[in-house]
Amino acid sequence: MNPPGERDRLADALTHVDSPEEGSCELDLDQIWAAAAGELEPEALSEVLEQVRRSAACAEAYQMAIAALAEEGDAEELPSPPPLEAPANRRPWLLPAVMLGAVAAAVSIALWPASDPGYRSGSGDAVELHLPEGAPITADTVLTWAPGESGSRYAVLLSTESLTTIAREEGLTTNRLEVDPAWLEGLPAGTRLRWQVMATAPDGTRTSSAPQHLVVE
Amino acid sequence: MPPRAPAHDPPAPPEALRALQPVLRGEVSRQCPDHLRAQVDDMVQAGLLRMARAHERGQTLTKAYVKKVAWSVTVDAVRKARRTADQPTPEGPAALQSVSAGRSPEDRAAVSELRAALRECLDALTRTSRDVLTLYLLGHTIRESATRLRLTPKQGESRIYKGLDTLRDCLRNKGHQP
Repeated sequence: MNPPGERDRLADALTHVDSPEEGSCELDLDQIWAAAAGELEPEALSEVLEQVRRSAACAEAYQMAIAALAEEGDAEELPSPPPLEAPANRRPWLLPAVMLGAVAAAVSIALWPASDPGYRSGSGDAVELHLPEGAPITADTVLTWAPGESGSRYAVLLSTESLTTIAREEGLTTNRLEVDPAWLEGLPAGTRLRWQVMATAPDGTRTSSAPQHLVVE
Repeated sequence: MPPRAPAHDPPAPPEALRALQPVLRGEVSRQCPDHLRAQVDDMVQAGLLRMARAHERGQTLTKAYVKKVAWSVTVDAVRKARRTADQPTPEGPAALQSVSAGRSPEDRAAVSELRAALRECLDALTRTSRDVLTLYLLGHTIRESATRLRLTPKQGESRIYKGLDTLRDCLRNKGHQP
């Protein structure tokens, strides 16, 4: 049998990230999840494990996947999303502002770039937003952020705290976006909004900013 | 400025996402390491966006899928925190310490050395023994480790225990106490 703590010490060593090389993982997170969930054939699993032994970041993600999976009831299916309906068919008795928000959310979330780093690792440095956290937003505000590599394109998502999308702009070629006054119509002063920027470099590499808050004035 | 998206573009399921938000939040909260607790809201938002895109691609949103999304945003947050900690900041060492679980530089160096030795010792095993032992060390049970490699539990147990014996000898020969 194992001496006390031996397995923990060895597992700790496998997952210990203490250098940039150890912190890099070339494996797609989908592969790691599939391996941890027992969905891979031995040959494919062996290839994943080879990378896991080489990269502490991969091993760490694998270990986290085991912990995440360690709960019963995984196969339970959640309630199906309601049927997709055209904005015109939405219930007319809802407040117009809520209606507009929901429609904007539907459109915006659906169209937010579909291939962000997502399950891929190595998403690179985050996009830096230029407005401070909690900055006021008015019809005159210009959203700006640190430019990425030359030729980058940007997508901007502005939403309420409850994730109702206020605005989504894609394909921007400059690192600035003027606020459209229509976005703020009907929003009471003091409303907190979140905004986030995703940059796509010419080679297709995508990076995102952390979400930040703006407060409607 | 490019043309704005028309309001009648294909809708996504905001109602469904709102319904799943508590499930996702629960999963993110469960999986999130302590030093990232302040970022749970951001992680939930990132997860909701991924789920919206997945739904558009036809992905069925099961509890297992929400769990996977929570895991992926947590992994991303852990890696991002580490990258941030590696960069010089006013907090400097404190930021790094929060990611390194409060380890001293000596401890970190010792673990790194053990890691290098462990890798060499694992490489010396046969492929099946190496794989089953890796699975076991990562946190799978003996049965899980065996079945993933199409071994019987008995075969897996035997390989794991023999592999551990070999590993101990190898590590001791390299000056490490396993």
